[in-house]
Amino acid sequence: MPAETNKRTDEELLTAHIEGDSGAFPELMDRYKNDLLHFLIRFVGSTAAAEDVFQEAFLQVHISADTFDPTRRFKPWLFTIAANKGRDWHRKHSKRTVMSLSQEIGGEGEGARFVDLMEADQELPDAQLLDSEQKDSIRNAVDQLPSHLREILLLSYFQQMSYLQIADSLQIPLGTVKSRLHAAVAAFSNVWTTANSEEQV
Amino acid sequence: MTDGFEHLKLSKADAEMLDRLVDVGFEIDELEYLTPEGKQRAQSILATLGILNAYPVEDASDTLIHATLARIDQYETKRTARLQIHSPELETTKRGFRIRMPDLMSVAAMVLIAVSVFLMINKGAREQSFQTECASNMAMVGRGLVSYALDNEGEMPTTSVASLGSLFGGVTPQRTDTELLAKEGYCEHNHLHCPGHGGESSGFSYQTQSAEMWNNIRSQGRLFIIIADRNPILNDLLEGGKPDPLTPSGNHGSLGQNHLRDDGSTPISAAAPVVGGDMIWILDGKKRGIDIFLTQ
Repeated sequence: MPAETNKRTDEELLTAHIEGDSGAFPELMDRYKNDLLHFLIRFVGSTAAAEDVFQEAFLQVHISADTFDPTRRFKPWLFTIAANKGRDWHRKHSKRTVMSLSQEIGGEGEGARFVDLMEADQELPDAQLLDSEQKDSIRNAVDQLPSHLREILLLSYFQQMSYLQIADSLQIPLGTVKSRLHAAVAAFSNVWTTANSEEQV
Repeated sequence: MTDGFEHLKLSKADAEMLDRLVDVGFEIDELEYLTPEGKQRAQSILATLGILNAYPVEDASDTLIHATLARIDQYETKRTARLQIHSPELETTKRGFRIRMPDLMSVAAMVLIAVSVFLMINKGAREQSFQTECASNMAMVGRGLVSYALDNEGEMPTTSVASLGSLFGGVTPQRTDTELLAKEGYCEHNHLHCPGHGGESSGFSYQTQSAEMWNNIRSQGRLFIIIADRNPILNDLLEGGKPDPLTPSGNHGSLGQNHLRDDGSTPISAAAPVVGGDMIWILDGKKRGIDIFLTQ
């Protein structure tokens, strides 16, 4: 029988953990260690902090395992818990980002400033070819986004969670999820463009 | 929440295309009824988001899972301790003392019953607490063994025990050496003890085999026990006696024996110390078989 056939699902592993299978939880962690850690590094901005939040997230999974509904998917649940822990981390270490863009945006008056990505004609590098300086620049651009925009951008783009899943996970209205993702993409594009134009000056 | 970004919005066309992309998991090929302009717009959005892929991230280190498991163990140990202290049974018993009855004899009888129930519960709670802490310690040692083996090409730390040669036909056997683990920082010294053992230098017994048998174990990849509660009949065996191999270790009263398996699990077996058909306190003398034999 092929090995794949015998592979337990995430949900089965969590159930096995609740029932006392000591190997189930390490296996579950092993499955998500890189995916979750990458998400958290992007969310909290450092590997050390991300590792700490990773541990807290899995501790919470262990504590709340009994409340998990096995008819639902484990992955969105895990990332919801991790996002909550990441938000707690941001609250504890809150250093409000000073928005250099706000003045520029303020120049447009009280109303919204609309960003059109197709018309922006911004220079978009090939992500595979970036050097370390450019990668740092990307990190800075992402780190400037406030956590409530960043988490939705990461959950949506990297974890491919639907609007409904994100709304359900974060317990916020669907419309808020949409408007935050729109704002996150617009803001990231703006920060990136500004950073690049400053470098080129 | 105001952060200056709230003023930024995508154009209506970008926002609608982003929503469509979210619906299809950012797979542009999954989009239906796409005009050339729509395709170009979708590509612009994906190119912008694609920059995020270059955000520098590191893969998880080998120790992250171990550290997480240790954190969970710590939590469980504290939780169990809290449960013991705040056990509802104990509080019920305390309330029993406050009952006032007109008949002095009845009061005395009630007090006697309450005291005996309290003592029974207290003893049981203490044993349960010891058993949990003992299993937690074993789990920490198990993690130390895994880390040690990873650092030493899969080898287990073992030490020769000349004093047990008489039980192995004159061959000096080797047993798991957890002192070495603590010495080299793979676990803490206090992890090497069972709190229920009553103050002797070590509360555990360790897998003990001839060098040949250790090699057999490795080659077979067989699941085996590395550590368990203390072997209660070893001294009698060494003195040439014929003790009952089903003697339970006294470590956890009638709860049974904790043992650490090489898969890292720390189950407790019922009072009779038989695991996988092997009695764990003696060698049964079968030449080819691998007996579990645990000594301190």
